[in-house]
Amino acid sequence: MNGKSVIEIENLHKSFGPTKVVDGISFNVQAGDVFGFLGPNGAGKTTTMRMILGLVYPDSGTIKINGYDIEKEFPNAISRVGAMIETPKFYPYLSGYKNLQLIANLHPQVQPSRIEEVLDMVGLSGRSRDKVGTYSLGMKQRLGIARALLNRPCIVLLDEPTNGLDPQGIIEIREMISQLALEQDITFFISTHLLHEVEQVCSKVAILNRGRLVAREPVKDLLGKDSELVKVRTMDTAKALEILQGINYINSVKVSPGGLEVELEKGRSAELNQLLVLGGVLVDYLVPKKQSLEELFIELTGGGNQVA
Amino acid sequence: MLNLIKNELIKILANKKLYVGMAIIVVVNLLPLLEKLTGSIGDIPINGQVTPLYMLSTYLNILMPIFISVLIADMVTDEYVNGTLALSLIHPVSRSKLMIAKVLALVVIITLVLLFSLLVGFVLGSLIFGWGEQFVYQDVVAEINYTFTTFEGLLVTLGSYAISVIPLLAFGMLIFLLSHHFKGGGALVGISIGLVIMLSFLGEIAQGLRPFLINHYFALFKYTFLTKDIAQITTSILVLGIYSILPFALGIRLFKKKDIVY
Repeated sequence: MNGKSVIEIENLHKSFGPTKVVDGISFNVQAGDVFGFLGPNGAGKTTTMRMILGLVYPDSGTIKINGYDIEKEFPNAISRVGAMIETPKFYPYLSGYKNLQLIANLHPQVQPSRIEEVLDMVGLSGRSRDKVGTYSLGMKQRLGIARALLNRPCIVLLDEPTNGLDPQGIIEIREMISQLALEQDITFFISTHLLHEVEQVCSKVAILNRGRLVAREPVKDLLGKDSELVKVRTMDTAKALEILQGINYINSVKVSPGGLEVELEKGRSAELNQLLVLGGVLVDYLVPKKQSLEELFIELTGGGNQVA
Repeated sequence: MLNLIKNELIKILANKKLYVGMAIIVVVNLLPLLEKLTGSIGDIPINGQVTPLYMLSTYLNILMPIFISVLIADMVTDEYVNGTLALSLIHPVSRSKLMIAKVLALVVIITLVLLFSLLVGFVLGSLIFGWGEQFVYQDVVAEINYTFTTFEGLLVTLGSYAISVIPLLAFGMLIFLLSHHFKGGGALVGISIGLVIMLSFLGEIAQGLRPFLINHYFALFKYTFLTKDIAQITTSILVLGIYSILPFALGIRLFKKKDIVY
């Protein structure tokens, strides 16, 4: 990562009729980031992506790609961007190759050999002459990714890139994203509902809820807060609860099956263990419980059960 | 721009609807045979060399407007709703250039289809009626016969087909403007057919309105090559110019401001 901002979003607003879809969001994506963009259905993710691509006009705010304002210098801003928005769309009566050729025709620098190259990258070389109408959803997803890579972009926006893929396909796409980010210095901006994927692939994440950003941090910072969660396995739940009352480094205590879940200041779990043992509580074991992105997501979005 | 036009042509030429339209043209060209068999053709002096000119009115008033509506529904409305319109727009392509490319591709296709119709007219007309000795075109409404040598007749026919691209394009511009307002190609085609019927009906019930109705100028070829009425030609070009430019400019303006949400 070289720290240069390749996408700069400043105070972006968008309403459709009376509905405010995006409400004053600002964030930067830096070169080399694999940036995860999360939020429940209707949070405004796709609208934001469409605004970045110049398909939807913001009511106010600015978007810059590679330093170019998309409103004033759209051709320069978009020239090195690849994208796949929602379910990839194609002309079903044309072959996979022809569908890519239509996009290659828009970029004079893209040679026909590049079409073969990207088809090979996504494992579709063998079916490239078949009509897209005969492709499975997973194959269309791969073809969509191939299309997004066609113009050798330095920024790629992907909306749900693993939708419709089987587990093996998901792993392949994940590896491809990591590899491209590393080897070809491509910055990825990914919207996905697979939070586990985000944890594994993304370096930074922004969480959107009801049009507002509720979190925007590197994934490791987001998951590694000042507090930690520890599961205390014991049969003396009542006694343990009594001892833990009023301890200043303990934020919260919850009774859980087989013991307690204790949220406490980072690095104080040994003290917690000592406190319980000295108080006569038989502790079977202490298990550090890592907060997953999914739990954090639910916490930040107020329990949005539909993540997209 | 050339690449955008090329893309549009690749899509249209791979679309089955184009070939269905051409098949319909072939079938429609068999109508004179039916009229001959039923005797309803009367004493109209028809032969192979004049058949395409007789058929042109049918194409212009019914077939081509429907065909153009179907094409534009595919090129704009369906592409918008299916999300494929966005594919070009997320590349360094301006919205106005994309629309201009679509219009120019439409001109190419209209020209090709008219050329195909012309050839089908000559071939089927000759097979049914024979090539004939001379070129006599009877304006059934005005009851006037226009007689030409075969060579002159061929030039008149070619010119008539060529100049008919203009009113068809003007009609296409109206449909282009409408195409931005619909969320389904079927609805656009339905409305376009309704528009053609309504315009014909309006022209019949209020003759004073005719000079303002676009379908009145589908007969531009007659004014140009048969009646040779300069005033009528000038009016036609003027009205068709307005019909072309105004909806086109409005359509571009609308499209440039539109949020692409599919």
